[in-house]
Amino acid sequence: MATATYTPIATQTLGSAAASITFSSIPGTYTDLRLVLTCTTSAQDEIAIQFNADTATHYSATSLGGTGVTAVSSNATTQSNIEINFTGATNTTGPALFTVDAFSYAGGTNKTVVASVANDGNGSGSVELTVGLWRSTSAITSIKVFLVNANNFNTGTIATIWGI
Amino acid sequence: MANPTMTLISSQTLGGTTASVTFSSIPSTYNDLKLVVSARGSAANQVLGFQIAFNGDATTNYSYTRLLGNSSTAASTRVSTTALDFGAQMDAANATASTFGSCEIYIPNYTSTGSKPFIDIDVSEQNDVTASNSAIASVAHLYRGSSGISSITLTTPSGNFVQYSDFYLYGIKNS
Repeated sequence: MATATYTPIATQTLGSAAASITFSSIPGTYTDLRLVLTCTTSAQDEIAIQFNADTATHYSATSLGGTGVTAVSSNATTQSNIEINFTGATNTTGPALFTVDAFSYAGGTNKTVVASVANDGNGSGSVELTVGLWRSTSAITSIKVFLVNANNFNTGTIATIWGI
Repeated sequence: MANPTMTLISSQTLGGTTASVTFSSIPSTYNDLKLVVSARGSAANQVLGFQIAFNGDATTNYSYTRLLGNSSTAASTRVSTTALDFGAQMDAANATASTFGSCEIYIPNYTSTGSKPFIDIDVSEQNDVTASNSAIASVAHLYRGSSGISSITLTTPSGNFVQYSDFYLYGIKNS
């Protein structure tokens, strides 16, 4: 029988507003990582991630999104983070779902992630897929999730990271 | 070390045709749900959306925003304040024989009494050179029901799910 998967590493449910959520001391014992974030924010903003507190321009991303009217694609190179919602801003009232899958995160090659956004606001919102690259051969040991324009995640935001 | 927490709650493999599939009495002991579908419809369509409903709720508590690529164009559409969430789709009777659409639906925090966002990614590849006959889509859904999800019903708008369609519901804990 195959080994079961989806082992929870940590979860954070915000009891008060916070500008960022960080998962640290991630063990290198899994193959992939999966981050699931359900949130609202204090103002419309863009969500970004950084690994291992690396704030250098080691990141890039390409996205494919839908606004409900048009399909759009964009990219950003030589960035200081991976933004995962190019197409539509976060929601201040209704919750939205963001996921990030990091593959071979403990390996010695550059790291690729795939992010998804489900941000339907019943008449507004967006859906999006993003591929991100972190040009580092270090194993991922921490992940910081934050809002690009320094707003807050609201109380009740839930973030969980699993080892796969 | 924490234990693995992705658990199969229930699965159904159709021995015949049926218009709807229901997972009921979903326990509230998980944090998230994942529904994996391999399905084909009997209606005379190439690709056909199937309806997702929670807790038997037939009111206009659903909405979705879709991003679709169909081998010809990429497009995005939106449906709001609807009782019929047909965001997910599958192969249907006009598709290449014996092909089934695949769909993965992820529902976080399904016991919440607030609005519940969820996402599905669905694919229909038919080795068909005709533009628009194959499709890949990602759909952002929102269910504005005020109860935790205890049942999920998938329904075809016409015809049936055919034999050998598979439906797997998993529960996932975060601790």
